[in-house]
Amino acid sequence: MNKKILSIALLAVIGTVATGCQKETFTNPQSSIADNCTIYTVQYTVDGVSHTSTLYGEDEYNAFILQLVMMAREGHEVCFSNNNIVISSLSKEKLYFSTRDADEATKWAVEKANEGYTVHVDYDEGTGMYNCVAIK
Amino acid sequence: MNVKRFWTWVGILLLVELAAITLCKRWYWFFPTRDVSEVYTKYAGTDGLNVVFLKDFKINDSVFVDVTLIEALDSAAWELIERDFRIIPPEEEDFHTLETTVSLWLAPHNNYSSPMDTVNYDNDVIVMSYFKRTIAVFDVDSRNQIGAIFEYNITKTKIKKK
Repeated sequence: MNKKILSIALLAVIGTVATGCQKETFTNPQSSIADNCTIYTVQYTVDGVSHTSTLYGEDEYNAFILQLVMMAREGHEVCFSNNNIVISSLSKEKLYFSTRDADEATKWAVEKANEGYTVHVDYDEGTGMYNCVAIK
Repeated sequence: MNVKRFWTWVGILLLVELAAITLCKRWYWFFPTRDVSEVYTKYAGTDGLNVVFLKDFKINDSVFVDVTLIEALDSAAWELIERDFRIIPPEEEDFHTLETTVSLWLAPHNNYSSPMDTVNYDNDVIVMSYFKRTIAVFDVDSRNQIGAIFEYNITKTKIKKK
């Protein structure tokens, strides 16, 4: 009798741990601003618990949707509404400037940095030019 | 015998005096100041990061600024820096090599994850080498310093290749 109770208790513990582990397999996707320009802010609920995720780029968004579908297949209650998608674009304005004169390159870079741009500069030995790109 | 002892004592006293004067005038050689930047305090001791603080780093004959250098030793540490500093990486297609490409931007003082403040006097200059995973934060006090720091780093891209 005692053995039966012990077995049932053990099974219950294993079941709880297994369910817990299954729930933890869902991870929020990590974002990387570098590769894409579109940001998706997504709201959804899993088993009644609401979450918000920010996704960078279409690839990340598609992977996230696939993850939600997998969770639904595993038996989780997943609610997701298209209406909750907010799409905004990161403006990636690019300006180019090349010169042989270091002072001119500096002047341009300072001017663009003051306007909020990130300025990338490289000196090309072959052409003798400072190649500058300003991005924001 | 007494004369020899006299001059020995004179020599010892002179050495003691010289040591005392050196200690008074150059005390910071022996007891370095703990005055470091906030960004240094934030990242010093973080796993995967080398952090160095340079006080009054010479940019040119008239500009001296405090600089904090951060070097990421692995990709996890670099991701932390990328996130914290909102890094926009240079794109390979724009340059013949990223190895010597230097990236510069302005960011609000001690709030590097925020968009740049248009108030120039409170912005620091951030200089990054994406290829080397290094970042330098120049503590800026005036607009004049911004120009000098940009000039110093842009000119260095040419020198590096020689």
